[in-house]
Amino acid sequence: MTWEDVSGDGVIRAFTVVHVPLSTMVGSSPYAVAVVKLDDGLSVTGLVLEVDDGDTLSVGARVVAEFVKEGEKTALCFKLV
Amino acid sequence: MRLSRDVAVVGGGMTRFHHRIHAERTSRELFVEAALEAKCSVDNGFDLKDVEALFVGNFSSDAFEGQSHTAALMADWVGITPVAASRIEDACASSGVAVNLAAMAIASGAYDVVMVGGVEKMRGLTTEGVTDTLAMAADAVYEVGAGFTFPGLYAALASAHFAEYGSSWEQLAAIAIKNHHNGSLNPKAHFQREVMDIASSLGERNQMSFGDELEFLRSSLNPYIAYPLRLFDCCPISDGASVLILAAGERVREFTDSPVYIRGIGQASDAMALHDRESLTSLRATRLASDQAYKIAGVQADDIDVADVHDCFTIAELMATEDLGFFPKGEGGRAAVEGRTGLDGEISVNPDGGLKAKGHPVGATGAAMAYEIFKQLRGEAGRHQVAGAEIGLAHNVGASGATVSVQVYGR
Repeated sequence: MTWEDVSGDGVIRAFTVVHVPLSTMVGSSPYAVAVVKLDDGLSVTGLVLEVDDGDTLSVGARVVAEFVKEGEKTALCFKLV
Repeated sequence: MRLSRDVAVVGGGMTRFHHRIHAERTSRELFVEAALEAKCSVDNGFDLKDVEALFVGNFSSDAFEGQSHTAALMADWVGITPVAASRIEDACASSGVAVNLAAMAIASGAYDVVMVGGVEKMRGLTTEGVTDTLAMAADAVYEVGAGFTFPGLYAALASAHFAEYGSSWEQLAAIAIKNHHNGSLNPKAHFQREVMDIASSLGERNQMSFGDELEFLRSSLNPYIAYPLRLFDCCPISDGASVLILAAGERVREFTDSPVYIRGIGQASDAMALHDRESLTSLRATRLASDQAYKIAGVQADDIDVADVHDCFTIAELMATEDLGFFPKGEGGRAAVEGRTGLDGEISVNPDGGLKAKGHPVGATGAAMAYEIFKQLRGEAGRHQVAGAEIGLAHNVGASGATVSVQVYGR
């Protein structure tokens, strides 16, 4: 396995808005999660920031990656373009 | 793959799947109840001393009950030690896989008589605890770490299916309504009430009234769990156990004149994380496992009369009816709306109410599907009997499809 650079641009392949969350996410729900296909071909999963209504998301919508720091951790998230 | 000896189900038992009625019981008590029913169901009588091995499907008694080493514990409490006892963990497909392994153990010639079952006691935890535990069956780093819950994974599959084929939430609702109807006819089901019946009593309590099922299912009384899936798109959290007794073809007549043969088995795996899969509108492992099972059994999808498919969420049943080859890709939803999967439809899907209404004590589900098909093919399914069922199928999925097991059954 090797590290490779990819662009952060992509499209949503599938998504949900979670209303009943994991215990680690209590207080953050509803929140959106999407499977994103990056323009480089790779698919990844991440939160879609600033979305809490499923009707505002769609398969095929363009997103861009954004890294969010939470304490020690950095999470791969996305924002609608 | 092939089965080099005939294998038949000669007995089966299961507890009712439920939460409240099992509140004071542990998994060992549930498993013993199912095992004793299986023993008593054997037509010519059955001595537990004849069991040579035990296979137990169990997802997570560790997290749910603080108890591991589950198979030996069940052998101990059923009273069949010192037989070989093995636990199989493949998420929600644990006991479907256990049935396949038990069939292989007999077909190989290693054993003639095997007990196989599954058990899960989930309701010791809160809903939040159960949500966390079930999420362990997804990719802990790349999916759960990103916020996916278990319902969320299937909700994402639904979004992709809706986008690719124009299928809809209303089609999912038809599946929930059908499975609740079937559950209302099954005394072992967790929910034994029609959706409209629930709509009336919940509505009354909340000073609301509903003209039909869809009006209720669109209302605030059916909240989103993970968009686009609402509460009634999800199976409940249930406790329960299921047990079968399998015997080699040469020994079958000692036990019954009415055996149900396992004609074919199949199993496949897939990428754990949804994002690593080529398709998000189909479970490849379902297609591969069913192809294998059909081939060994020498049947085709349209030969199946009755099928228990893995409907942990309504979208899962829609996709299963396509991936198993019952309907062309993209037409599963319409087929459900048209009643083609109903009790008297061209292929009866989940006549027992499915996971949706019968309940889904994770590790017990695969063997409970086999129990249902055993009853159906013997004509013993009672009020949810499918008339003239000759060939049956059981389809059990682990988590979002990284494991799938299938069996084809015949007389």
